Amino acid sequence: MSELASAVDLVAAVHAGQDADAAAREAEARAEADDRNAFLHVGRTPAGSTGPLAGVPVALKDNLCQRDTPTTCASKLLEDWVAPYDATAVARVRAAGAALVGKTNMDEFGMGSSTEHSAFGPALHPRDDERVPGGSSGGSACAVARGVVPVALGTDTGGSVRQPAAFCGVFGLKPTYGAVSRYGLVAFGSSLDVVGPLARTARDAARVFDVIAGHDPRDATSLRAPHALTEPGCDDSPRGLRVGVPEALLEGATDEVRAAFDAALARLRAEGAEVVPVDLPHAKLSVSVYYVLATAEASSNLARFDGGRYGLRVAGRDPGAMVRATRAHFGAEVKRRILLGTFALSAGYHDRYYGQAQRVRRAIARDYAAAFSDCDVVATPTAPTVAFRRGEHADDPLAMYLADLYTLPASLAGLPALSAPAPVASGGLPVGVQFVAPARQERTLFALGARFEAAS
Amino acid sequence: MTVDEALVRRVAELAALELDDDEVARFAPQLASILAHAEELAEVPDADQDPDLDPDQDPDADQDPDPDPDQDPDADQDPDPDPDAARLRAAAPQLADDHFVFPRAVRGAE
Repeated sequence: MSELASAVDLVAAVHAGQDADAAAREAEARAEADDRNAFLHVGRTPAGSTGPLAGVPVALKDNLCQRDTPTTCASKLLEDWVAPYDATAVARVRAAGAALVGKTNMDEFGMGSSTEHSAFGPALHPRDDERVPGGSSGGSACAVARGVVPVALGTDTGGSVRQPAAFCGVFGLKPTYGAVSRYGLVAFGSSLDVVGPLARTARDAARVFDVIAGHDPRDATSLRAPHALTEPGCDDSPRGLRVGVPEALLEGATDEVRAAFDAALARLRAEGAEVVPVDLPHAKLSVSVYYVLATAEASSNLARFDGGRYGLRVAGRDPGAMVRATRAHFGAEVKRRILLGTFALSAGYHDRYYGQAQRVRRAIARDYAAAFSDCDVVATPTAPTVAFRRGEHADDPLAMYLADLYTLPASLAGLPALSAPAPVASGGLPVGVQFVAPARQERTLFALGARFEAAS
Repeated sequence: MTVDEALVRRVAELAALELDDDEVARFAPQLASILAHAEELAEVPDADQDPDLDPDQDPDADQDPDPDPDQDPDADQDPDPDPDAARLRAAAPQLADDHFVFPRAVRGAE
């Protein structure tokens, strides 16, 4: 089997006359042989010979609907469900010539940061059996890092593209909220959910983003402004860009992560960027805000899994018993979040938790707006640690949630963010550097991210 | 507010979740810990300022508040991405005359 080429190179080869299905056949074989439990379903669709993704094998996170293909969300509730239609993002990569080669493992319904909360077993880190690949798009990140596919689609509600990208040493983009349609994405937190690419190169990530972005009338939150291509940003110089660093937020980063982050900043300075201090005073509250709002939205969204219209049905003596018996098959993390969200929305506690979290969310967005008067992007590590060990947070969900601190603020503000592999010492585990830009400024993110190709 | 097993059982009932005793015992201290952490939100003094009243800062201004019913939904789409209603119904656990079937909710009346 030949070495995996970048998506951009594969497209060029297909446009020059190479067999469009060749790369997809090889990717399918690699996916079948994968021993990381990164895939929940493997099956190849034909590639196109024209288009910006002609002949490119793409893996899909298993919460994205692919027509006539299992879409389980890594849940027993959807174990036997076959999607009857394509998500818009999936339809667009198909139309661009990509071959779909499989559905990837994830935390159940996107709830988790480790891909340990899958009903079908955990995915493993691409290099270390004892560590997690991150989550919830851990299968997609692992598949890209292992060279099974050059690009994959993930979804990001609070960091679920960026954190696994960082743990696995690949690029991961969370687009501006509304830039990519959510139609056909099984909802978790509807005010936060976005679809984004994971890739081995910044240029591949930009290419896929340019394919899936753009208005979709089927999603009422879809941005109406025309999408401006971002791939040319990979050729932009970072010279003169001001990179803001919120130093107070970085206190929890490990020495290993801090060293890689500082090396990333040094590289940008060497390329002509200016590093300046900025303040995001409310960002430290992001964990509390997120785990109130996202769980509240999840408790509402997951009410649809009642055994009535699709998915699992467990018989009960009456309809209420049937619903409860069916929903007993949610995993522990999903139950925990449904409980939290239901409580946050309940009479007597709504304003104390949900209402106040909405107000602080707006304060976080205001902080970014103020920071962007002093800088072009905000930079932090993507996560405070490298990939942690399996089971490390099994009995302490709050500790797991607190590890999301660096990715949550951009999610709450609806801003685009890119995780790129930071320079690490030889043999070290991957570390991500995250750049956050004003809304719809993804091109700027790629101008910076492209400086980190093959960094790790 | 005390987050104890009784509260977890009440919230589970609201959420239509069936929890066994082990789950209740495990979730109660975890939810207590998470909600105690979230109390930090109450200490934010200026969170009541609401700039969303300023239309220039409306974060949703660029989004589609009311999709145009006259707009062709297939204009920039795959020729037939619409879910076929029959295929959606086919995914249901139980159907009768193309309607979803739930167990009878009221007993005794035929």
